[in-house]
Amino acid sequence: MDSSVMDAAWEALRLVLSWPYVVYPIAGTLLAMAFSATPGLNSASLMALAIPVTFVWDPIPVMLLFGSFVGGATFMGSVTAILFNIPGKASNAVVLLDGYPMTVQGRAREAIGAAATSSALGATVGVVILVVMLPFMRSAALALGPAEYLMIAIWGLTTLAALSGDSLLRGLVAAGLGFQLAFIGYDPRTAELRFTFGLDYLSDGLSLVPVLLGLFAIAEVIDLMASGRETLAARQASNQLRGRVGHGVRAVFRHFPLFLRSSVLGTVIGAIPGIGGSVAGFIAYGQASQTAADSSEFGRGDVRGVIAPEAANDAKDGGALIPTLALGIPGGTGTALLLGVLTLHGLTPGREMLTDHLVLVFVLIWSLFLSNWLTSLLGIALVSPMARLTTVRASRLVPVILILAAVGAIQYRGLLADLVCAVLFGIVGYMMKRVAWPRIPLVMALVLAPLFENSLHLTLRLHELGRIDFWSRPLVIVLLVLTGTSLVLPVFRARLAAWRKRRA
Amino acid sequence: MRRLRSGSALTFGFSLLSAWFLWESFALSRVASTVPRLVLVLTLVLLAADGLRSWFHARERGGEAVPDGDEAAGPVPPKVDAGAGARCLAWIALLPAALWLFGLLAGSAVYCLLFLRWRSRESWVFSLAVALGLGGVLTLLYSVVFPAAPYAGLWAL
Repeated sequence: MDSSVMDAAWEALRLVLSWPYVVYPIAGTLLAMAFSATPGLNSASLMALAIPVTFVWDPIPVMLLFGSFVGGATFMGSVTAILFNIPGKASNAVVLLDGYPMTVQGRAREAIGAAATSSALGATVGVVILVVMLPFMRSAALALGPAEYLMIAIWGLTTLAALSGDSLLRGLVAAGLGFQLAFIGYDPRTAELRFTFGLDYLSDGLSLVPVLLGLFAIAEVIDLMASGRETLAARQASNQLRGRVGHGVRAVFRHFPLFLRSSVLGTVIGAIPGIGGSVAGFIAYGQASQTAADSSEFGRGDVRGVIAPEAANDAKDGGALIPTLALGIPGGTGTALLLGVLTLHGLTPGREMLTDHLVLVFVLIWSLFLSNWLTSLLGIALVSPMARLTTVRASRLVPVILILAAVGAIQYRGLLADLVCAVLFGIVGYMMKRVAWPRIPLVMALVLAPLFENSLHLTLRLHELGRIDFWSRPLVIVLLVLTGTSLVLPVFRARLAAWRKRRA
Repeated sequence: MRRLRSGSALTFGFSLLSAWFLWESFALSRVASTVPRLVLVLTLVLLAADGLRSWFHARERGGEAVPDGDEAAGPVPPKVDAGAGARCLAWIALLPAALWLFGLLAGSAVYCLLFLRWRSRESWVFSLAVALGLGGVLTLLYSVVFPAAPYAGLWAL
C-alpha cells in the first residue's frame, strides 16, 4: 500500500483518538444503539435528524459522528431480533431465524455473544476490504449493468429454500405474496397505479417498516397474549439463562471459515450500488445453510444461523462506503444521507475525495470501525440485563413493546394508517406463525422485487435493442454459476446423505 | 388437525387475495401487468398445490396428523379459545383507536394504563407508574429528538 495512504490512515487515527474528537464516535454510537434498539427507528432517521444540527460543524466531527451512526446501528436491531423476535430493520430479520429459538432455549447470552463477535469482526473485514479496494472501485462499479443486477436478485431469491425452513412450497408462496405486495403503488416504467384498490394510502406502495413491525413485533405480541406464555423465554428456561457469552464468542472462531466467507460476501454485496443492505444477511444465511455439511439444525437455534447473517450485515457497511466514496453512488438510504452530508460540507466523492481529502476519508472509516467494536463490546457488557428482559412477565412487556412498535410505525411517515397496516400484518403474521408458514421469504421478496422487476425490464429491453449480450458479460456468468450452485448443492447433498445412509 | 384447518384457512385466504390481485391486473397496461401476472399465476398454482397436498395428507391420515413438512415445525400450538382470541384481538385493535382518539403521547399512556390494569391485572400503582413513565419518555423524545410534532389525535381538534 502506498505510503501516502498509510500516512493518511495514521493521521486520521491520531485525530480520532485525540480530545475532544474522541467524544463524537462514542456519543454517535450510543445514539445509534438507542435508535436501532427501537423497532421502526433506524440510523437513517437519526442521520436525517442530525443533518441540520451539524450543518455548521467542521468536517472532522461530522465524519466522526456520521461514521459512528452507520457503524453503531446494525447490532442492536439484531439484539431485539434475538431476544424478542422483533427485528430492528429488514437486515436484522434473518438473525431471528436461529437467534430467537436460542433465546427460547435459554441460550440468549450465547446468541448475543456470537452476534456481537461476528458483528465486530465482520465490520473489521469490511473495513479492510474497503481500504484495499477503494482505488479499484471505479472500474468495477462501471462494469455493473442491469443484467448483473438481475442475476443478483435471482441469486438472492435462490436462498429462499434456506429461509423456508421445512416447507419450501410455503416459502415460495410467501415469496410470491411478498412480490404481490411490492407491486402495489406506481409502476416505475409507466407511472400507472397498480393494485391500490382506490386507496390513496397505497399509492406510494407499502412501506417496509409497518410490514416488518406487523409480521414480527405485533405478531409476536399476539402470540404471547394468545398462548398465555409467562415470559419470552420458554417457561422451563425462565429461571436459568443457560449459555454463556464466551460460548458464543468461541463459536465464531470455531466456525471461522463460515464467518470469513459471510463477511466477504457481505462486503461484496454492500459494495454493489442500489442493492441495499438487507439482501446481504439473507444471502449469507442461505449460503451458510446450503453449504453446511449438516443443516438440520438451521432454524432451530443453530449458532451458525446467527454468525453468518450478522457477519454479513456488519461487513456490508464497509462495502457500502466503497461506491459512496469512490463514485458518489449510494448503496442504500444510510449512505445516500451520508452522501448528502458530504456534499453539504463541500466534499465531492470521487477522485478529489480520495486524493485531497484522504485523511477525512480515513476519519470516517476509523469511526465506522471503532463504533462497530464499541457497539459489540457494550452489547456484550449489557447482555445479562438485556437477556433478563426475556424472563420479565410477558403481560408487563406487551404494552411497552406494542407502543414502541406503534411509535416506530407512525414515526416513519407520520401516518396513523401505517399503524393500522402494521396491526393487520400483525394478525396475518400471527396466523402464519401458528401454522408454521415462513415469514422471512415474504420480507425478502418484498425487498428484492423492485430490483428484480426493474432489472428484468431493462435487461430485456436492452437485449431487444441489441445493446446487451448476456453471455459475454463475465460477472453475469459468475452469478449464474453461483445461482446454479445454490439450487443444486442442497439437492446433491441430500441425495448423497440418503445414499450413504442406504449403504450403511 | 388444528394446524391443518388453520393452514387451509390461510391457504384459502391467500388464494382469494392473489385471485383479486390477478383480476385487478387486467385493468393495467401490458408493460405494467406482465411481471405481476406471471408472479400471481405462479403463486396461485403453488397455493393450489399446497391446498391439494394438505387435503391428500388429511385423507391418508384420517385428518389425525399434521401434513408433511410441518411435522418438524414443533408441537401443535395450543387451541386458542374463540373468546380469548377475540379479546386478544380487541386489545390489539384498541391501540390504534386510543392513539387516534387521544394522540400518540396521551394515547400511549392511556393504553398502557388500561392494558396493565385490566388485561395484565397489575396494581393501580404499578400501572400508573409505567403509563406515566412511558408517556414521559415519549414526550422527551418528541420534544428533544424528533423534529416533527407527535400525532395529536381527535381530541386536539
